[in-house]
Amino acid sequence: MSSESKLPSEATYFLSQFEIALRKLPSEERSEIVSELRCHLLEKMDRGGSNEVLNSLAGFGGPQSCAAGFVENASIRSAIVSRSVGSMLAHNLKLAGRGTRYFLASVIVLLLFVFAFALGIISVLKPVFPSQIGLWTFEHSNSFIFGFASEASQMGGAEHLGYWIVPLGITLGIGLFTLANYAMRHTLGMWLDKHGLTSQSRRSTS
Amino acid sequence: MELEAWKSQLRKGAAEFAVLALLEQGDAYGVQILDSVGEQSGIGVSEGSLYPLLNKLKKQGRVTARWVEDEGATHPRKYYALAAEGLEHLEAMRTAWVEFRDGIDALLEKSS
Repeated sequence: MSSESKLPSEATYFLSQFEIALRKLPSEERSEIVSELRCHLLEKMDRGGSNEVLNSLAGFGGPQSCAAGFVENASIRSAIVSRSVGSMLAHNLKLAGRGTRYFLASVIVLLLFVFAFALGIISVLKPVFPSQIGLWTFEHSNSFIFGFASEASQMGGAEHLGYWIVPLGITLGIGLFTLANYAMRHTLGMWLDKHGLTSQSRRSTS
Repeated sequence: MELEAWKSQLRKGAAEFAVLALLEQGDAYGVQILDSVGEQSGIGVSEGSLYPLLNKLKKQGRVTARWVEDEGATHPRKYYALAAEGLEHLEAMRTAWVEFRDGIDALLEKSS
């Protein structure tokens, strides 16, 4: 009889769901964590039977919430390593509620992406709507419009860039996109550093 | 209910300190740590918070871990030990704790 068969079915179910919830971790680490919790439950079983095991399961919370404590920082680390834009952005947005500087960092990242995207759209649409996309200035009101303006010419505006807006928009868009990626990696690195999970933070005592 | 929430936050804040202080006394495995911290301090650390904490401390290099087949036990046990970095961090926490405790005590003395 395997040691796990000593455990009540609730514990076996918990461990199987817990292992699934840890799937973002490397298999060796996942296996070690599951083994440790399994041994914890076996210890409780030896000491006090099924009731002790069920009390322990209550202490762990659900398998997903229990796994969250292990997964979060590992997930952030793998997002940084993989440089996946979607993954890094998702983690940045999750961190937004964890403090003012993370909130501000998320706002900056979102603005950078919005502007990068807008510049990309402008560059693509210029050949399609040449008279409606550009940079106009208006002498009478000392103002300017950059982007899509269907009536700028009728309003007396002077367009300055012409088709130069295409390479300018692409260059600026790529630049802002790159900056947004850097900002995301820096924010996530800041979080890991704060929790002593990077090599630079090993000497965290101050 | 608010008092219980505040006490819960206090326990969460002190959990790492309590675990490192316990490991300073000697190596211990998960169930032992839970029992000993509860018995010696009255601070209840839940299973759900202990193991992620130990995992984090191990990644930070503050504790080390090894599996041991204890005589008479029906399963292996993962023992944790305080590492040099953990001891250094514990000392810093101890200093900070004394300052904090003295500050609050001084405030309470003046207000009573």
